[in-house]
Amino acid sequence: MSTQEELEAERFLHRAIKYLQSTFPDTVKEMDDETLKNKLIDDCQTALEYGFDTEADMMMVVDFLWRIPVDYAQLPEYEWVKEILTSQDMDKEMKIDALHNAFATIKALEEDETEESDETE
Amino acid sequence: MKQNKEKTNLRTCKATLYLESPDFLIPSKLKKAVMQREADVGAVTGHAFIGLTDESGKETVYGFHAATALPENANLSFKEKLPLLVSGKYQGFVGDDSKEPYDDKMVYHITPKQYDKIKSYVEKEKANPPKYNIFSGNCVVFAYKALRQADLKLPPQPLFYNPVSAVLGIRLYEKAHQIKQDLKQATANILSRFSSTRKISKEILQGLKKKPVKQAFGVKTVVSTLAGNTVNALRHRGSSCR
Repeated sequence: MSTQEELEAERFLHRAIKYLQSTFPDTVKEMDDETLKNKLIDDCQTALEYGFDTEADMMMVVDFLWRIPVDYAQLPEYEWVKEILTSQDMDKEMKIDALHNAFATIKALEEDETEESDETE
Repeated sequence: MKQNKEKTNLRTCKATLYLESPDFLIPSKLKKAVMQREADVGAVTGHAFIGLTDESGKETVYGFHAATALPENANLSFKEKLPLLVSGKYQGFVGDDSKEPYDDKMVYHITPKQYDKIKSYVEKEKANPPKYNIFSGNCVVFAYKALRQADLKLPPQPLFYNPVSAVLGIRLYEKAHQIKQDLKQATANILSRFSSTRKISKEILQGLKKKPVKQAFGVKTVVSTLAGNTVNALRHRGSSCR
């Protein structure tokens, strides 16, 4: 029989899946229900490892992880993700802000490069 | 008194960094749409100037030029102009650039106090203009020095002060700002849907992971599992015999 905590967690996952479906429809479409739920749980556990333990905090990290490559931990150009998440100097809010700032700058640079190569083609 | 203080803290004025980007930085599809310009030195190097808008909305535009840009020097060829521009001995002047074309701009919303600081600097420079040098005393240096009077964060200049870096900095900032806006929207969305106090434990999450309905184990897996079991059994027997 499910405990109250398990029921709350189930409800949270249900809402989280709804959020992912509306925010990242293309990525979600490529997954079956089982893969989606398991990936969400894995990402929540990653968030927990870095101290993001409330539903909202966890989802901030999950949302961010869904915006970067799945294998970010192996990519040298994404080393900043771990650096920010493990920083001793920032609180959780500052960490999310720093992740967003770094991501926005990198994406802007990528878009700039894409536009430049479109120009030269 | 308090009301007065609050009034001076309101960002009711504006300072604008305008950039006429060098020709090569204008995307080919926009070349016909940008403001018309003369094919002069500015079209090659680019040009920076500033606008100051007071509380009533009136904008005054200032730009720093070498005296080669004065009407009386209009007949000088580019070859004649260039040594003068790099010499550092040629007179500069602060002029009204309100008719100058621009392609990129960064608008800063500032307080009247900041406005006054910039205004007082540019008026001083206008009255007593420095010498012009294309590398160390150019239009970008003037614009940056003026805006820094109000402690404004300006596009980075990694090499010497030049319009190219300012143009690229503004374009990058615009894109990054748009991406940041999307992330802000996502943050607001999450905060409205999920609890900021309720916590979920790692163990409970692990327990909710979907287990596959059926799994296949081929001969290789079965044999390796058997082999593993045998090794473990032998180890166990060995340790219990000791």
